[in-house]
Amino acid sequence: MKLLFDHGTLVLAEAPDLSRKAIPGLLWDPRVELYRAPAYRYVEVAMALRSLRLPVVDEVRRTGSALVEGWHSTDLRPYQQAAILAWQLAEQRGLVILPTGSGKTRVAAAAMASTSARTLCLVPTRALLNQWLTELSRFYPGAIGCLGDGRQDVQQVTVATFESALRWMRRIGNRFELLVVDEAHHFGCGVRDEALEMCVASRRLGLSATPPTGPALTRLEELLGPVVYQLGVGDLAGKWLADFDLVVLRVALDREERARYDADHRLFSELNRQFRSMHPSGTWQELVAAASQSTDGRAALRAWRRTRQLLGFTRAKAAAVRALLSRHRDARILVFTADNAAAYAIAREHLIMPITCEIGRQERERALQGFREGKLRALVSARVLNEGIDVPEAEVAIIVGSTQGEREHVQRIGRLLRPSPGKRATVYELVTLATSEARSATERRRGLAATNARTA
Amino acid sequence: MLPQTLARLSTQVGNDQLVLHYLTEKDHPWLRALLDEYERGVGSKQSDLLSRLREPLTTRAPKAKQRLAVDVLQRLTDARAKASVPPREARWTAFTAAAQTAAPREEVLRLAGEQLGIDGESLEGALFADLRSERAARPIPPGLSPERIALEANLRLVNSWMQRARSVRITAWGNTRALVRQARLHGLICNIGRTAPVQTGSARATPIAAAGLDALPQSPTEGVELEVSGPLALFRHTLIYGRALGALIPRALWCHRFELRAECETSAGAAMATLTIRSGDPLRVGRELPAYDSQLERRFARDFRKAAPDWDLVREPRPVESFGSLIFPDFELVHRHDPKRRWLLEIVGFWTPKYLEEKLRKLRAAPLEHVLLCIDQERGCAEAELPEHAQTLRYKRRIDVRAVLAIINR
Repeated sequence: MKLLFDHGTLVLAEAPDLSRKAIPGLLWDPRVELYRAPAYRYVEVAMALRSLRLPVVDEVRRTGSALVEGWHSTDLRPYQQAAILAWQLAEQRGLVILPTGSGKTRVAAAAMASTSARTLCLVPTRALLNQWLTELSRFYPGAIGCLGDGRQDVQQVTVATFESALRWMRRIGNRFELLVVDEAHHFGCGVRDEALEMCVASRRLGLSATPPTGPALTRLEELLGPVVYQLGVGDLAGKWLADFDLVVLRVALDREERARYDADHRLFSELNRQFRSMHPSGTWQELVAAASQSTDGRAALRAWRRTRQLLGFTRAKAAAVRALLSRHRDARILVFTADNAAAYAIAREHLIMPITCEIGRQERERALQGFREGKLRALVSARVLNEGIDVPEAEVAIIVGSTQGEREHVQRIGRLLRPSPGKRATVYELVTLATSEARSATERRRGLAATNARTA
Repeated sequence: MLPQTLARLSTQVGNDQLVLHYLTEKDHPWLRALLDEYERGVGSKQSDLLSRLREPLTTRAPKAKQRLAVDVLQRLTDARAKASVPPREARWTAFTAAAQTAAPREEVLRLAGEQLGIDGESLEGALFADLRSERAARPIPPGLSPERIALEANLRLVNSWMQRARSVRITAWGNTRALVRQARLHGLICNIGRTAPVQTGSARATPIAAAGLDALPQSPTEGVELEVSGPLALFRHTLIYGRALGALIPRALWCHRFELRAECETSAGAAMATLTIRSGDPLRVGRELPAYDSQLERRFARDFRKAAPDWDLVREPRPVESFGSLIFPDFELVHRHDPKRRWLLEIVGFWTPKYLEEKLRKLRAAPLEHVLLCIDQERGCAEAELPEHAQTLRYKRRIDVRAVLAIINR
């Protein structure tokens, strides 16, 4: 009997009848007349077969047993050491939750060094792919493979984007013993989870600043392990992270904007009220699906989109941005908008560099480098700067608009928290009075409740 | 890929079936009006023009279909940057200049423009000229007709649903080999069975999708039924194979006749519905698939035809049934004067003795004695490990036609 890796799953070839044996995850596949199990249950399946004293030739791994050695020692801060220890104690499986700027990549490098295991690191974007390659090369002198951004090179230590991992895992899922997932909160609720299912690595480390909740967390724990260590911004701000002030500037709609807002908001509120009366616990997706069925519903959804667009960049917000950019003339500033249109409008008026999905990788890198060196004074972005990108020089952030709620808010503020001597960051949040934005702004600040934020 | 919202708008879901609202000849008049409207807006900002095209046209058009056509038009009219200096350089120069001075905006643009040899206004025009939402609409490319837009839109619509497919069942007659190979190439599990004979076309007929079912010559041919899904699909419903399943569509379109039924997820977590596509649907037949899977096969066919005038070489012969599955040989060699003298030839790339043993066992059980396996000698085991009774011919980069003839003329 042979245990083999087959396109992201395990198959048992030449197996006797196992229908009465309790082997976790193993099912009879009538399509090919073999037993099959998901790859991520490799250890459980192998142990169950051994405990049944069945003669199994394990041919799942095709890469030998050489250790990945030569890692330089990583100088860890106390909380990073504690995170690694917690992960080790949890049988090298689990989620480490640390705020942005606290050195999660260093924690990952320490985990790789401590296990000497062949490792696949998954990152969400191409920008982070390059950042991880650079960061890991400081700790590991050997060749580092890369999947994504036009590169297809698999080594003992490899970094891949989520998308590339999804495409490649059926072929390389048996080559690694440790799986490191950056920004792990992207998993747990979608088709991408299957990239984690198709890998046999039993050691797993998930990294995030903003863990999911509810069913998504349960699923993530199944795929990566439980939360083994968690710290918030408030735990590290002041010593290991830069201290910061959060200044909420409340602005108003002008008369014409108010009229447009009220008309559109009324239209959508009516739809929402009707839906909630029939489906008190209905989700947003269900509301959209129900509204799409009628002309009135579709009109209400269009009205909702118009209000979002309006609130994203009102005239008062434009004036506030003008004043703040002028006030912090000599500071390095990040401006966050709700959408690309607002980002371009700000970029056009104030001649500051937009970082959007339409700006290519090379230009983006050049701009980030220019920002670090002081050649560019500000960057404006809707989403690209939200996660992971390292801009420790930033001192001021202006949050003009937001669409993603609490998680996005925490991630955006995290961009400013990488410490430097004497640094105290300032975050301006522009909120339009007497609109739905005022309520959602309060909700999204919950993620920072544990911090020493001061609102004005 | 087509946005899912657009796909849904162009599809009716009822009785667990997906009914696609294809663009047909009836839509050509308003598609012509759409192209005329686009022509009038050439040179203006593309995003503005596309917004205008989504508004009602002079000729009445179904709203969902119109949005679908505009999306296709946007992709087919490849708008490019039109600026006096490369926009990337314009941005870098203007934004770095702005960071160094507190001068008014116009002054910064003028000074930055001077560095690039243009005036401030031209520099401002170039700043975002390459970005999709800012760039100018370009002229319609030659050959872009209402018919082409309709066919492109239909194919995009089908592909969009196939991306949400969990499994696919295809019944096909003629030219089916490429389908099977495509499925296997993507690591899909492809169960193949035989179907009842039907009236279908001769080899290399005009594709039915273009010619219509009435154009079929009346000659019975057996077909195959393929059920395609991914390994992970055993454990739960999954959409991970959507792209791979979608890649089967162009192959299916080149079969002489086919019917494809896909189980698709209509929205996240929603119930499944069946999409049925068949020959005769108004779908664009893509680039013709290569007649040979590799240069090696192409070269062998050419050399054999030249060297063996007494033999006919049949590409992709009828599949052979064995142990409930089908075997697809690469070629059949038939003697012109004595058609009873037939050889099946299969080119084997990577192999192991066990693989060959299994293959020969199936071929013998078929029962087929006249089978020749051509084996790449750089990719496999040693001579001593070859299976017994194997009629094999080793090759290195090129199959020796004389050696093949020596065996089949023996």
